[in-house]
Amino acid sequence: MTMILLVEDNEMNRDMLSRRLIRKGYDVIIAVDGAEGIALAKDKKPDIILLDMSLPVIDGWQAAQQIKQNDDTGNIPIIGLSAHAMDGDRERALDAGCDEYEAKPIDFACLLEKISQHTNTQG
Amino acid sequence: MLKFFKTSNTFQLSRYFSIASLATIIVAALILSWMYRVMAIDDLTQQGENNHITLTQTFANAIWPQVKFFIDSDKQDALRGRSLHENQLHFKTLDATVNKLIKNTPVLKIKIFDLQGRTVYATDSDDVGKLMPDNYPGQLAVASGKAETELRFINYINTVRGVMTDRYILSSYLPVHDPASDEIRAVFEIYADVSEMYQKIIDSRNTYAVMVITILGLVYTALFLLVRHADQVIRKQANEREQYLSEIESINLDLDSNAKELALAHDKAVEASTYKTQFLANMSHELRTPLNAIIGYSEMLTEDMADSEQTQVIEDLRKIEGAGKHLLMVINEILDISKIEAGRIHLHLEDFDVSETVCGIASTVEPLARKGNNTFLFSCPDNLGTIYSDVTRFRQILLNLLSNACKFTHDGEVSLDIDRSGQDDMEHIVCTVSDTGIGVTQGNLEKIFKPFQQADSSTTREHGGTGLGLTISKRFCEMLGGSIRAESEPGHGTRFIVKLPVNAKENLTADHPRPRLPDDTDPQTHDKKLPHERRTKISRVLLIDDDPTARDLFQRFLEKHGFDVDVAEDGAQGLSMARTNTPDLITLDVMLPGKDGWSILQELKQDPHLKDIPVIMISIINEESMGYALGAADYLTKPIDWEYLGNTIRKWVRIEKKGQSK
Repeated sequence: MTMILLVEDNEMNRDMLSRRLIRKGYDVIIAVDGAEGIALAKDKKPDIILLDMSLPVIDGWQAAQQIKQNDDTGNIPIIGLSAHAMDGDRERALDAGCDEYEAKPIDFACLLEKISQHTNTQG
Repeated sequence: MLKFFKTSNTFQLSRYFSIASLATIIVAALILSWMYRVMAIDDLTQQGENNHITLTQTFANAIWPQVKFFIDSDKQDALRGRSLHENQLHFKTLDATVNKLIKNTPVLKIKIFDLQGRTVYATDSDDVGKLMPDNYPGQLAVASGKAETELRFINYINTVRGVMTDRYILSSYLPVHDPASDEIRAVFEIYADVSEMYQKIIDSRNTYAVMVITILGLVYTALFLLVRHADQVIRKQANEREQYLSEIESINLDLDSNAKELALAHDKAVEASTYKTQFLANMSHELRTPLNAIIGYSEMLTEDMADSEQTQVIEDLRKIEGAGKHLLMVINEILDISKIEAGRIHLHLEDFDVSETVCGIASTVEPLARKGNNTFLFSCPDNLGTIYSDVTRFRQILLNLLSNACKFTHDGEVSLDIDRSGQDDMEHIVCTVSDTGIGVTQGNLEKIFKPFQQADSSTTREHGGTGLGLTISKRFCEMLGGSIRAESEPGHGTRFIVKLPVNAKENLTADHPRPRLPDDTDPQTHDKKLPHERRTKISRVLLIDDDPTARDLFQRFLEKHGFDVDVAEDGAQGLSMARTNTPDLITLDVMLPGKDGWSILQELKQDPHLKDIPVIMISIINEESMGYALGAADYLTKPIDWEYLGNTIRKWVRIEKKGQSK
């Protein structure tokens, strides 16, 4: 089963997204800030990470960088999620090391498409 | 310091002038009167001498025989002569002759000397026998043989008319010739009183001096007044200049402080603008987060309910989802205006057919108008021809105005009139959008084009919207080199008149900074590490079509024309490829399995990163207006006219890339 690490601080979005992903057959683990996200990525080695950019403790951009720089977690694909939709926000996320970027509100179908593209599996 | 220096300078000028000219006048008067006197005395002397010469001539002729007697006689005899009887006779005769001769003449006294300087005769008998001293003028006359005259002031003199005191005497020494031998034999000395004449000279000299001084004084006064006037003028000018300088100085100070204030205000404005952009970004973020939950949960619940046949609930959930998506659209519109203000909206100028475009818009608007039970009136001549402008913005302007008109009008009329007017450079397309709706008051007409301002804040509650549509339309009009204005009568309706040049140039005003070209957008964000081919100069086209034959044909055609081609078999794949590869252009088939072309188009246009990519809709059915209404850049019907397709694609691909792709 494909394991997804969802790093999201907003409780409602975390709940909604995790439940929808679980319903689609994914195994979802949750982190509520950047530091916990990095730790869980090292610990559980998920197949893909959904990373919110605005996070407490360590923000998403730094978290993406650290995850990609670590040998153990460097090959895990990251999809950046953000409600930042201004010009350059996508580029900033990709620059930080994200493989993909999805603006909120999330188009769930599109997100699923991206997840399957990067994991080569259907959940 | 400056003032003091200048003033003292001008004072010195008139002071120097008055002192110098007064001295000059006095000296000149003195010199002139002295010269006058000298000349007058010369004249007097000369004239007296001439008189004396004539007189002497007469005397000589008259008294020479007697005089000759004395000269010829022995010196001692002569000295003793007076006592002798014979001599006494001679003297008496002489005295009588002389007295007769000098009667009625100014002559006071006569002396006759022999050549040895001995006085042989004198009217004052005491003088007879005396020798004239050496260097006496009489000796000079003897030596030169010419008359010698001098003017003297004598305190005491014994004359034929008795003793006289304090007289001006003119005395002449005149050589006397012997008429027989023409030799000089004696010297006459004649004294004449010229006191009266001298006094006259002095008097006239004084008069003359007074006259000279008066005239010079007048001249001096005139000059002085002139100089003083000049002085005053100079001083006035100096003062004025000083005043002027001090005014300039104070103006400069004012300007300085104004410039500082302006710089400060500018800084504040920039700061405020930065805050605004930051605020919009934050607001967008803060709104998107809960929207994410709203849309997400309603989608999730819709999925849940799909199985349980609770259609009413599904409908309600779809309403929530729809409202969420509407809200998203509003947010995107707000971002749009902030992009316009930051100069990040680009124009795509091209030739397009006005009538065709406008007909498309009209068919989109018609259902909207019907919704409010309005009649839609549309007039557009067929022969408007093509214009060179941005068709997307053109369409957006008219759609904004028309949807506004529909929004504020119920059971009335909404009309659209298009016309072409003017000539050459001044040629314009004039679009008039009128309605019979609620109208706008005169005062509010000025406000409606400003961002976030609706005519009445209650309008927002009643009619919704962001209040940005008109602002966006106005900015687009200006960018296209045109203008927009509104006329209204409250209760009777509103009319918007859009005037766009048929030949648009990128219109850049100070208010709206230069829209940057796609490839030089923001180097900080775009030039770093882009994972895709955005920076390559080959244009990338994404082709979404489910029919393998059509796809193959398209791909070969596009590659032949120098494009990089991405191919997607359905909408979902198309969307994800659009997101990953960021193509320059998308061709989208309407009939697709799963999500159809229209939903894909809608999704593309709702995505802030994809909505600026031009999309060409391709279909076997003609639903052009639907395509334009949803934001398609162009609409083509199958079977494809390949030449037209090529032109259309090139038209939409960015200018600098077009050159490379050929």
